[in-house]
Amino acid sequence: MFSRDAKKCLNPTDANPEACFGLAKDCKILFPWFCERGRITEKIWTNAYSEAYLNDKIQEKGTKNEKPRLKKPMSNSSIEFLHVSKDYQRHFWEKKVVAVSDCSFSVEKNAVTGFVGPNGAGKTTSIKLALGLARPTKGKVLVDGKDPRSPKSRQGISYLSERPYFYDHLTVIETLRFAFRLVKGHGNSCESQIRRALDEVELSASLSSGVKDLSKGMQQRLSMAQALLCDPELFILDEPMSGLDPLGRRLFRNILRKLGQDGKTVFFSSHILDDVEALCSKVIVMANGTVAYQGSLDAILSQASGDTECEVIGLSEEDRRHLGTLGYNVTSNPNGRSTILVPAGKEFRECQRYLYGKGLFCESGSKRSASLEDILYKQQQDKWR
Amino acid sequence: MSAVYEIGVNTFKETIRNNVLYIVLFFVVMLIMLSVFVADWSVFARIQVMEDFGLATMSIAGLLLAVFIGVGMLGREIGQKTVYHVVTKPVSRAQFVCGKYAGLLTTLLLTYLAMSAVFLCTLVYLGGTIRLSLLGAMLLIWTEMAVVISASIFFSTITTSMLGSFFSLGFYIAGHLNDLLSIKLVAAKGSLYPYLLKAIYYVLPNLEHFNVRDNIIYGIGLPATYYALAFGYGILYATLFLSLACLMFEKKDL
Repeated sequence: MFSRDAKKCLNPTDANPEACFGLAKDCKILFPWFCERGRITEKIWTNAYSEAYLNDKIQEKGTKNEKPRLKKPMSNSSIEFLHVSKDYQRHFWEKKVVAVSDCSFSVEKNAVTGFVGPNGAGKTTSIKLALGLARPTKGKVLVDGKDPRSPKSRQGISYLSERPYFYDHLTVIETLRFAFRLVKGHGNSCESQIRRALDEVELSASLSSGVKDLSKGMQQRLSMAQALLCDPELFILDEPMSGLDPLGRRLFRNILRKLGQDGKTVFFSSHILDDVEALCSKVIVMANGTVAYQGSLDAILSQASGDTECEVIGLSEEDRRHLGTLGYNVTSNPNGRSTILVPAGKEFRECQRYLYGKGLFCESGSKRSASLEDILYKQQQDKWR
Repeated sequence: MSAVYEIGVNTFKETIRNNVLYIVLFFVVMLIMLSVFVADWSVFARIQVMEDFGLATMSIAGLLLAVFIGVGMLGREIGQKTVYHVVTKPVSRAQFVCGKYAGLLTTLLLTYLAMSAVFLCTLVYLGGTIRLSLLGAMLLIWTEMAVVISASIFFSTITTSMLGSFFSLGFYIAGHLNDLLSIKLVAAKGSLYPYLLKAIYYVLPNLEHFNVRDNIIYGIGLPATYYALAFGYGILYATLFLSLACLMFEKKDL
């Protein structure tokens, strides 16, 4: 059914939009997606998903006699969002709420990716879409090249929810047995894997406790234990550190670091940006239902310059007030010194000129490197302005 | 199949550890045992009154359990988000619904068997005999329960727990009044009204098919094929409602 040219065309690296468009026009049964739109853009074509989509369509619409044998795409993305939008409308008389709007991003395999953004940015909705808990209003979500609504796509996925949702009537071991059996059936390694997971989260002592008797932090540990069962390849974690004490946070950090070192794909959302900075190599920043930034963490940190701090002796109350009106943050220290904070992007020269005019000098100065928190805070402030 | 079994076992554990079940079971057992005194006060034959009272009690208890545990269970799973624990695993939504149904039906079967045992023991104590037709009537009550549970599960996939309970109760009442519709249909006039009645008549199951209490009390025998057909009718409707529940749950955003 496929000519050599057509096969060549299916290889994203050899993509030639014009040639492929010609082929697409001729094969209306095989390429309904192209025909619907009537055009192919290079961007869409070179995306690995085009091949995955075609494979699906070919499987669906292939003729009885000929079974196309096309290789599955060798995509390096574990989760892919392609122009995904999601609206919610609880009742038909209520206004639609746009949770995610034309959102495109991909989560790289074998990397720890942080998913950050303010409340209501669309992080949890995106995670729900990736797990097939909700269906997108527009666009396409792929998990390992498969539709997340199909149970097969969830074979190697582990999920940890924002709040632990467990069956109150079960004990810790019953909960883990249930989770294990849903994935692997009655496997021999069930008990040993449960013991190992409980040891990892330091919950072995509560083996026979009822889930409802556990504190929130302990339930969170139980969530992590069930996520670690069955050795999944992809971890989708929604606020894994919430409700944990400092020891628990450290434990979870170590677990996530180890997962990253073992080559697992970890995609986790968090409000605790220190954790994201410490653990992630990639970051996806959501704002207002869209992706504000995606890429390596180093790149986003190096893009933004940090604040500059300088210490001055002999600054009067009036000077402080004046510098404040110029946009500098001045704090007085108990030892008679004052610290002037020059926000990133603001010229220091004006401040220097003022100090020089008053016969004052900077005793010491340093440039702080911008943290992820600074960057997101600034981004949010820019939006409000 | 393994996932359906696991979800079924978990649901069974959940319902068996639910206090509501034991409260209802306690009152039903008490009512059946009290029927001994009710039968004594009756001017009719004691055994007949006992049979009628016992079967009616079991039918209503089954309805209450089916509606309140059936609707509440799925609603609670969605509301408390415990469903995430299951559907984020390689388990289809249809498997989840079927597992829930299987677990619930097993619990109700065991509860029903306990109620039946008390009922039959009381009957034998009063000097009655355990007839095949009586066992047939009990089977049909259980079949009716299976239909009501499937309808409850279906309602809980499309609406809230509270509304689902009302719909399920309405479904039970309308199902028992369906016979009256056939009489109304003959006299119905107008352009739309007869069609509307006809639609309701054909869509709703006729739950009166499962009610053979009058036949038992007055000793009117029914052929074995009647029981088989009524059982098949019930299974067909239960399958239909369960399929609809799976379909609706598949489309639901959780």
